[in-house]
Amino acid sequence: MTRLLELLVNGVSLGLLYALITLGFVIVFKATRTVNFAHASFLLLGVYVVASTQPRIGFAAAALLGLAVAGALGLATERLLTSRIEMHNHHAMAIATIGLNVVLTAELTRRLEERVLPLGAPWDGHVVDIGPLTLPLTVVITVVAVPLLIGGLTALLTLTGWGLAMRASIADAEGAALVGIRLRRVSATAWVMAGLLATTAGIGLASFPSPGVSVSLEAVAITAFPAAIIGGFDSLGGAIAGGLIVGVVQVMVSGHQDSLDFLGLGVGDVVAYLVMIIVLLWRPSGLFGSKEFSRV
Amino acid sequence: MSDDTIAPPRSTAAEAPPPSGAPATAPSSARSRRVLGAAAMVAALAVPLVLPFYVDAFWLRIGLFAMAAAVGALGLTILFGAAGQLSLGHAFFVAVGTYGYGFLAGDDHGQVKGLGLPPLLAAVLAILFAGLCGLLFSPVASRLRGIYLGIASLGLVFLGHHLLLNLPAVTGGYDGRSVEPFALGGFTFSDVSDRLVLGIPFGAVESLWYLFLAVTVVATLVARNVLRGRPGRAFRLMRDSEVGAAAMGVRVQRAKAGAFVLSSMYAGTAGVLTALAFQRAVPDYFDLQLSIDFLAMIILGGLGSTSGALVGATFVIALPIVLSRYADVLPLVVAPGQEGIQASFAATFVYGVLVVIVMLTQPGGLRAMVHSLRDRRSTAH
Amino acid sequence: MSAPRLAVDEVTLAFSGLLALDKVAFTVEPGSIHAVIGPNGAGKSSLLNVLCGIYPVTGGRILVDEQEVTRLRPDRVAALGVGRTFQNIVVSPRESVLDNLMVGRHGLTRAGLVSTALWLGRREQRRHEARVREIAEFVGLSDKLDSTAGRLPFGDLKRLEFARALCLEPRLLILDEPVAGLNATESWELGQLVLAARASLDLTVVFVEHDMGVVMSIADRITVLDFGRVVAEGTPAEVRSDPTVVSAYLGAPDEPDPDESDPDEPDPDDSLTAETEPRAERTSP
Repeated sequence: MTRLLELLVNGVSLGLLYALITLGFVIVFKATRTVNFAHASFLLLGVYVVASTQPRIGFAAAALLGLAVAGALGLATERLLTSRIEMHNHHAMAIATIGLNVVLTAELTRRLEERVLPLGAPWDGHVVDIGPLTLPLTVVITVVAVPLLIGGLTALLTLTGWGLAMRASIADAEGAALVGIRLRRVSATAWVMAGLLATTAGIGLASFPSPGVSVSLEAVAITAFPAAIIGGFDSLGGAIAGGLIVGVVQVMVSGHQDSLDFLGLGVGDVVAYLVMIIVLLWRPSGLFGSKEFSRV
Repeated sequence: MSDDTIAPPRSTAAEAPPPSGAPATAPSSARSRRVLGAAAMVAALAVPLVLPFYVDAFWLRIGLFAMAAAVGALGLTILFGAAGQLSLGHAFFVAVGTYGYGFLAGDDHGQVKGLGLPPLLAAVLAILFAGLCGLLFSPVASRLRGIYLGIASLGLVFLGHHLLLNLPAVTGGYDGRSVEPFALGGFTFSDVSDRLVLGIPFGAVESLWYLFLAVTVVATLVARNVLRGRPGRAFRLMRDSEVGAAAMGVRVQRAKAGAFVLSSMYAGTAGVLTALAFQRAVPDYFDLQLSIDFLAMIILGGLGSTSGALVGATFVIALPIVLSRYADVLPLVVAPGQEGIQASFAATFVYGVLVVIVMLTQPGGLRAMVHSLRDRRSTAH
Repeated sequence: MSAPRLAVDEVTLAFSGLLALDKVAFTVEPGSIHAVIGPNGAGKSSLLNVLCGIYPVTGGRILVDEQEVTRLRPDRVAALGVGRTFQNIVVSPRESVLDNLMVGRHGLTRAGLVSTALWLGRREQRRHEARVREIAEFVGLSDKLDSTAGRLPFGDLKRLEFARALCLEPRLLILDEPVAGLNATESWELGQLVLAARASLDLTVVFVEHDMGVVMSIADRITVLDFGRVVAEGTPAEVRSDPTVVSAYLGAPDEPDPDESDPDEPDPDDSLTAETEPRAERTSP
């Protein structure tokens, strides 16, 4: 029972981090209709900057720097894509992000090689006992901080002009332009936010009990894709739900590997995709997505 | 008939010369283009036929991998280029072909099993099996559109890799399995000692060269037929507008499933060729990077074009190998183990950047670039 | 193969609670040209999309002769001989005009993936290509068959769509704003093409259009929609004098479409020919 509860809390913690990654991805999609295949490498770049600069400038400054770099990368990507591609050519934009991902991943792989860089976060290595549960401090912080962050983000999206503008521009790009919403600003903000959220989540993913920043983190970050599909691709609530589902299922399955032997070793790493395919067979537009994305 | 009688009033109009001039010039320029095209075709066929007699095994081996990749790229260009359905799961179907052939043609080696079927039968069954796998995924593939299918199909690569590691009896697990050489009517496509043809040693590479060439030519012609025929036209309208295609009588879901299954079979064929070229199947080869490689091939070559797929595949395959071979004379690039940018990374940078550039400047790919140039020229005179 | 009667029987269409069509009912007699008019947002395009199976109806029935098409998929509706054009031109811009037209033959040809791959069905292909060339001749696109569709002037694109719909060998032709964005001459020519097609191909035609000149000159009957409801129906003369219509629609300045900004190359002489030529050309093999 205690173990199950521990797994559940760990799963929720991981799921919240996935939710952050997925949110950034979905926000970009909602604001610009672009599928950002480079999202996972945004995350890797962000935490790479954190891990490689923290020995010199300390964790806090390094974290800020990482966030800034990833945000700037988001902005640069947006500027690059919209500089030449018409805003409605979503196919070309998506493919261009694949090319960008190839370049970023190659460069980060070249720099990281096989190494694992410690993140140096102050909460690394600490565990706390809460009642019968023994949990890494990272998990506790995640479970507390990420919901606050998501709450703040939701407030931003529902209460501020930017959120309104984003939703209006999605509903009707021309109409939004007519009432003076600057689409460029909406889309730029979305891309910056994607970089910030990815790096934030990356810091969580690279913290204890994870050993640190390595190339394999990108494969972890890619899990945001099935999470987004499960949630429904164009739904912010769906992104959170998808992230949580994937995180919890992954931890639960990995935690019960012994009794799930027939599914093969390491099934926890791929269970997100299994869930995704099952969801797609059942609901092609995901759990909370709007229908138009899958059907004629 | 009646058209002729009505024609005169039209030709009195201001733009009379173009209509009468156009028919005169158009056929002749079309004819000269056709002659040029035929000559290029003959050259494109003749050069590969004699190549094994002039270049060494290093280049031939690149050719083998390029042809294997080209067949896979043809499948993807039908699926994504024509039908507009992105797949990042292409590597999975390539793996099905590779391991399918390995298992069906191979014999038992300790823990790793095999059925020991004749290689040709094994190859055909492996390709059909890849198609079957595509069919099994088609409930997903036929209901998703474009880029979204790309993300969903990503899962196939990860699930496939998981299966490769966890079905050791078929796949050999992490270490992979060896692959039986191809044989046809007593002729083995492997390094047989003392086999000389026209004075040159005719081993695995030389004999496989001709096998691959034949497969590639057939695969190209079939793809061309499909793209130029009724299915290809339906695919392209579906890509540009699903509603429009449906209104023309195209069964959209079925067309998507058909394109997906066909591309899976192409990938399966590429897999069989890969198996024969490597003579070994290892799981880590079939990762997401391979899927992206295929995508890069068709984008660089020009989406939806068969010749583009061939050129793109050759470029993406040859680039890292050639860069590493000439690492010592090229600036920046170094051979493995030295300080600097390794050839494989350099190649990845180059093609990643090229994909971005092609998308930014000409989303239709290099082919569209050529076309727009040609159109501009023909409207100019 | 004769022109069918189209019966729209109390058709209702709701989008998430919003009524786009509210018990719309009218009948189109065989061989007639029937216009559907109304202000923007009246549900005209929704109606056309319902007719060809793109939107599933919420209630009511649609009959083409005795055949109920209410819940058929769009490709099945097309197979019954219903051809259509779209308001916002739907063509493959990178393909040739000929290829775009040949898609219209999709339902009339059978070559599947396997047979096409194996060089089969080429004769069928050629036969249909010959027919497509006839149709291109009819609409005046013969000399543009090899051009890339995306490079055609707007007026030709409209013709291309119209020709492609004819390539289905339809019995019922549905046109969504066939002349929107065209200049006066082009509009008139396309209107004449519709009349000629009806005459030579034995068609029933339903079309939505804002251009009152074209509507009044080619329609046999007109249905007026407002807020998803039929507010009037009758001959052009009747509708023109109907006070409800005048207040709901005709009172408003009936400018064509906002997106007619494109500078169409005017080639008026080009299609003057089409008007008189159809019959003879059509019957010649």
